[in-house]
Amino acid sequence: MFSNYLKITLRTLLKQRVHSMINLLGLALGLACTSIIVLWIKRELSMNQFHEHKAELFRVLEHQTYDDAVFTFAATPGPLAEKLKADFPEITHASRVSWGERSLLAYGRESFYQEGRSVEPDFLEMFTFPLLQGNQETALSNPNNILITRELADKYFGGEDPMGKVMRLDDEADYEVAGVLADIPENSTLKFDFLLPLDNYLKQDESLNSWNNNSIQCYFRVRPGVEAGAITEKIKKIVAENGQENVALLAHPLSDWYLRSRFQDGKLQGGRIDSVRLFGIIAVFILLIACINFMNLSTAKSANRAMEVGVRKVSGATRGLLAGQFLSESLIMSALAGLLGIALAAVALPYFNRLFELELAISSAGPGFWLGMGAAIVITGLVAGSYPAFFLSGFQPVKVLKGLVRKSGGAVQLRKALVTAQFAISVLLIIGALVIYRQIQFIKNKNLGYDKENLLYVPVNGALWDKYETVKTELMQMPGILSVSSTNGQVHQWGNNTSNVSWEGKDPEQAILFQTIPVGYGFVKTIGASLKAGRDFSPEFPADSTNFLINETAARLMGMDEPVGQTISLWEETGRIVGLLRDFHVGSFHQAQDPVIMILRPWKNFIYIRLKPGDGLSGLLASMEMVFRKHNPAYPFEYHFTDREYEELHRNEQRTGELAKVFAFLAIFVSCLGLFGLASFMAEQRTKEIGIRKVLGASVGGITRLLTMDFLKLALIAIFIASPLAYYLMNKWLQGFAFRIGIPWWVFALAGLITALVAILTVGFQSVKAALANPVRALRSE
Amino acid sequence: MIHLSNIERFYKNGLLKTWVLRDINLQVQPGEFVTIMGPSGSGKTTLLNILGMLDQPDKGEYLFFDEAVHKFNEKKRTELHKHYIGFVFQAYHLIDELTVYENIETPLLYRGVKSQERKSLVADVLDRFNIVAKKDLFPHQLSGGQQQLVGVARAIIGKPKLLLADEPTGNLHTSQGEMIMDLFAQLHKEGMTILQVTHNEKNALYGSRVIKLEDGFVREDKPITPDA
Ligand SMILES: Nc1ncnc2c1ncn2[C@@H]1O[C@H](COP(=O)(O)OP(=O)(O)OP(=O)(O)O)[C@@H](O)[C@H]1O
Ligand SMILES: [Mg+2]
Repeated sequence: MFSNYLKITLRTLLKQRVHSMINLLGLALGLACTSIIVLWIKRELSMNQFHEHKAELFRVLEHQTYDDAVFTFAATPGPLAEKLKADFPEITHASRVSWGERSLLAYGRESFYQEGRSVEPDFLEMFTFPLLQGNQETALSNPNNILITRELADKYFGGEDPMGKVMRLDDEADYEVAGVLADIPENSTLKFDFLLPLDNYLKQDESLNSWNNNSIQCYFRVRPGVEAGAITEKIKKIVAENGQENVALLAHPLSDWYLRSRFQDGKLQGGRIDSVRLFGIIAVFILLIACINFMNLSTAKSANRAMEVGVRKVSGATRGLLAGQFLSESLIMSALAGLLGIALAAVALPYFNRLFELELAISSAGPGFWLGMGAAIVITGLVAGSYPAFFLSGFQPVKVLKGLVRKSGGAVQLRKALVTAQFAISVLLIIGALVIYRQIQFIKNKNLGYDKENLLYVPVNGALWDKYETVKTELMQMPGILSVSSTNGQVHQWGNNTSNVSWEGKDPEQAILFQTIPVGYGFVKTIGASLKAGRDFSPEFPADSTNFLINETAARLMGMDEPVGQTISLWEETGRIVGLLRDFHVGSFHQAQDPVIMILRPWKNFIYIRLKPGDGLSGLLASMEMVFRKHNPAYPFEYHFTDREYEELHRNEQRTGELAKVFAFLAIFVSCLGLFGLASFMAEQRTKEIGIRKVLGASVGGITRLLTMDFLKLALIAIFIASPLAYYLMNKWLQGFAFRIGIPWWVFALAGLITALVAILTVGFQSVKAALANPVRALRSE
Repeated sequence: MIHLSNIERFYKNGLLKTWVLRDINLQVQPGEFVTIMGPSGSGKTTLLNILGMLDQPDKGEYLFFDEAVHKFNEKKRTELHKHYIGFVFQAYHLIDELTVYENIETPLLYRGVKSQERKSLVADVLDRFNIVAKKDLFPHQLSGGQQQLVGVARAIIGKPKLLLADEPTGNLHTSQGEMIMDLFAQLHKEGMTILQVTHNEKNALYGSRVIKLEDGFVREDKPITPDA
């Protein structure tokens, strides 16, 4: 029976070539999108899942409550890990983990920047980062041991045995290789090239001994079966009880680290899981559009098969049997489309990988992928075939003979509804793509309050700490450099805040989080921020070492109309405000405008350099490199452009925008395919009417309009349905940005126009063709 | 007004050519009422299609008011169909999607006749053809004869100068047929040029001239004298 179906399917496929191509191509594109998205979702869901004890691993997060908001951080006090292990029997392991430091790691003449983390011995028993060489028990017990990944071992030692070799870190301390770790899986969020025992890290930072400072991450492992909620309840108040009253702890389970890590006002707001859902839905949408094409074309062409149904019924086929036949046909189609789609996906993957910096591949997809695709193919086949099967198998032989099938109004209505749905999805995706594009442009072009163009920064390391003044003087002599200053963080992603600020008239209960930026002389000018009143720090005023610059938001929050000259204190040190800065951004656009306090300190982690706009950049960089290499020969010259780093912060949105564009295009394309087929069919079916109308004096233009209007009406309805929905969804997306565009009316108009134009072009072509046809031929066909 | 010289029309079937019309020479003056007769398959409909500019001859020349029809562009032809020529088809060719009323109204729409005038014209014709009760039905809800009546009504409602009628009474009862022929005679009197195809000798007598086709040739072309 099935081989009979297969034969008929293939025969129909070949007989109605255009129709089949449209169905096949549409379904294949839909399934191609699906297979890429399935691969990607699988990857997203696999993040961190390689840890053997994944169900027992937690990271500690802090909810810090302030007057106007609750902020969530991963930084915790140094003593926390030990306390957790000691006080709670269900917590079996705990380790502090540093943030991931880039250091210059050298062996002999080989010297590279590598990322390392300082951890405690429990780390290796919590996480599945197996040692290929070395003893897990003792590897981290000697403060001067280092564990390197296999990749690093190959890089530094080639074929030699790395064990016991001595490597030099940042040109100041020696470490002995005590273990080789298996390479870190690509789907790990904890990333590093080497591990160090925490001891030396602790020595460098006194504040790690205090309960009042949050400066390191804390991970722990529990006994099997302990729930996240239960353990959170238990540990919640520890930090509050030890001094920081506004802190509540949260045990953040491993499965959420990657997917659900965005908190707003102390509540989980999602995270990457939103993208996973979004693209999952988009895949379903595109598939749905392709299914609709299939249903529409099949029912539309049903008149051609009415005879077949009639004859089969007369010769004894039951309705069920016929439905089975049509369902098998659509399943065969969707299987063919699936193969074609997977091939298409394989071709498109390199592009997708480049865009997302991923390494997805169908060859290494594993059974999960094939299972998922199999399910998608079967579901697609069933959805696409359901209505045609139901519809076609319902034909009554008598009516078929009378030629009455054409007048089945129900099918026509449904077809119209489906086409409207297709249009609506397309409009939705177009509006989405437009809004995302505009928001990204807005972020790129928004005035940040400082000038991120031509602003370079150089991380300070090695001898630079001591030679800053000399380097600065030499740099300032170069004609391409306007000014040089220093600070201890990156301006475009500042994250050093305190609520330990007081001023006259402050409500003692009030807690506001201020960004504190320690700077050197000339910093305001260098980053291109501007002063509204007062002056910048200057060597002419020795008292400036205890004075402050604040921004407008800070002045407003402190209730000061004339802040310059007033006295405030930060970290219990009192000084005078000497300048009022216009507001500027210290972070991504997801953050609101923060209050800022600048202090004059020689804490120079970064040297900021303002370049003169214009060319000659490569020459300038070369002469700068000479200066840096001369004074800091152990380190390579490293620099970053603020504008590029700033864009990097919004990379995720940019990618979403790219993808939205691609998918919107695909959705429209697949819709067009279907529309094209449907229009050609409609025109074909109306040839008689067209012929008569021409004989009665209708012009080509009039007939084209007649045929096109039908579809245009549907497009208009779709625009009205999709616009409010798009408005709602895009507004929700925009809520994630502290600074965002409104959605102007013309976005909807433009989306509508694009859709209508596409509909007119697609349908219009067929209509003109029909209108130009010789009427006699059309009328003869009766 | 119509001048055909050496018209030929053939279909190719593989290598075989079958002639449907051969060496047709024909002139029709304004105001004539011509009847075309002949056995089935003799080429009557084909000739009418050519005269109505729906079809083109393979050879020969067709002058319409001394202008070569093959040089007319689409727009000119549309203009003629809109304002000058009316058709009654052998197979009725009503628009299935429109009601009786709308079918009859269509030519007026294309002519840009005002709504008020359209209403009264259609009402008039419906009344005359005795199909007022059917005006909201769709073609497939009518009998064959009723469809034919609607087809005739549609053809004459715009008062074309040239009416091409392909067996306009083929499916009608005698008295209805007579009614139509009386109507044609009256229109003819008012100045309409009419070419009709019929198998009915009696209907032929309404006209002023009979042309007999056979195997694509004109076998006979003679005027009808009132006493003949
Ligand atoms: N597309 C075609 N291909 C081949 N032959 C055709 C085609 N159309 C018409 N013919 C032939 O042309 C001839 C004339 O057809 P036409 O319709 O003009 O006949 P008719 O005189 O109107 O006949 P009737 O009285 O039955 O209506 C017929 O023999 C027919 O077979
Ligand atoms: Mg005929």
